[in-house]
Amino acid sequence: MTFLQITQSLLQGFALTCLIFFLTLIFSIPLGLAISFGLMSKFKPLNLVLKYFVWIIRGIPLMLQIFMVYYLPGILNNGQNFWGTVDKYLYFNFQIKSGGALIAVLFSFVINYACYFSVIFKGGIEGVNRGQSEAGQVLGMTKKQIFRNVILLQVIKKITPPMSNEIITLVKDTALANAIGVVETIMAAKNFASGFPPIIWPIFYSGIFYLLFVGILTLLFGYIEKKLSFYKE
Amino acid sequence: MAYFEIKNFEKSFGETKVLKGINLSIKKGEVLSIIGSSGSGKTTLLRCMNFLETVDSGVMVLDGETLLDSNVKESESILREKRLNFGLVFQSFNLFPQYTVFKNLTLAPTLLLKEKLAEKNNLYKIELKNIKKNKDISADEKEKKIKELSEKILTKKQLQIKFREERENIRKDCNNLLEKIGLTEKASSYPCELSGGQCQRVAIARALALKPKILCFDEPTSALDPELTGEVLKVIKNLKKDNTTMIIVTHEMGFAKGVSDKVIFMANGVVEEEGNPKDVFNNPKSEKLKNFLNNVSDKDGE
Repeated sequence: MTFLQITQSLLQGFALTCLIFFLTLIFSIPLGLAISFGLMSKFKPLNLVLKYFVWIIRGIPLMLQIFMVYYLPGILNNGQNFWGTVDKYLYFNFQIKSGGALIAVLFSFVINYACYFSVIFKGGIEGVNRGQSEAGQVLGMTKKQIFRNVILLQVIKKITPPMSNEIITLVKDTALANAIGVVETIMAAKNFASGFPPIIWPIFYSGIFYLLFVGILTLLFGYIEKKLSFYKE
Repeated sequence: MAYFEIKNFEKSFGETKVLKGINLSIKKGEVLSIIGSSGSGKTTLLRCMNFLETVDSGVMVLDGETLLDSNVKESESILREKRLNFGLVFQSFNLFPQYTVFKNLTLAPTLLLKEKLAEKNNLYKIELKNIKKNKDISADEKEKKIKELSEKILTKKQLQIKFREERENIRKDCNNLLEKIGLTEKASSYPCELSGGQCQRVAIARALALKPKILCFDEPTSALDPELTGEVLKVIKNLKKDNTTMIIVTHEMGFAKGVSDKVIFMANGVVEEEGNPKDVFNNPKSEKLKNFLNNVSDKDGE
């Protein structure tokens, strides 16, 4: 095994890491926004249900949630391999080769992160001074105009630091996918360690991939924060 | 006849009755000051007028038009339109921090203009549709009307051009307003770069940009350092010279005395005393007003 070969297979794993990362972000941000509106809604039943839901999702380890999403549907359905069926369905109907485990991972990640994001969004929206929307109202703006033109940017500025924290955590949480056999970066590295002869160093080497990725994200968020620092409240 | 009139405003927050039947009226171009100790309901009254709170009961009439009748539920869009009769200047300015001074002024009028243009265009489109469907009119007439309407309907590009043209007027207006409050050189500054007094002057100009019929002030100088109140009061005095109809909730007794045509003293949710400033300040009749004025002047003496 040459260094190049190992790098290559780690990169394959890293591609999956990136896929989980980006897909989770794309789906969990809108879902999180929806949940945050629900959490702020005056409709009591919805509000209450979501509050408990967020508590449960944030209260259980993500690894356990992945297990639950992966195994529970099968157990409840007479031991049939639910995610395997989903996988086959997607393959036969849309020619998408997904891997059932990957879909299960995405499902649990999106829900988990949407819940964390929703709390951040709620804090951000409620953190904007009430006077801002009142000023908009008095100036004859519609609720939509107020949100788009007045509130939104202030919310984005407020949530950038906590979101950057959460998003950086997501990069590393993707490693949990190997619990159900998704060959992401760490799993790819582990495969070398359990091969014959065992090669241990790729496990440590894999850390560099995460470091670089998080480094880029840190720069990106630093840039966004700097861009938004043109005004103070 | 009164230009603006409020009849029997009542408002409760839970168990606490904040307004217990308020009546007031002013003539066009008059300045009304509302004084009274904290918790007397002055700010709530102002917020009710501006539709930021809904009254439990009461009627509000401006220039012959009933703006508010607690028995009638209005839709959000009508409420918005009625709200535009008033401008409100907040105690804490509430400028939009992410926009420059100039954009703070132009934002609302520009959004309104865009909406109005699109709305008008849509009305024509609907009319055109209806005429095309109409079978009762002769073919000639139909064709004529369709042609007429089609000419009125603007394409997206034409709409954009018209919007840009009319936006120029808004910009001109806002530049004039900035000149009026003496902040032309701050047009491209952000609110965080201004002093409190400057912020409040911008807030006044922002409210004026929509040309409200009545301009309301909610303790416009209470959040300011004493040395900054003067510049704001000066702007308000200048507005009086232009015959702007104003309702001012204030703790500045000297200012209220100087600028108002009429003063209302509120206590515990009722209008305890009202009249011209001379009478109210020099010959207070009720015990409550006497006490209030004494307390205020004591503080001034300190």
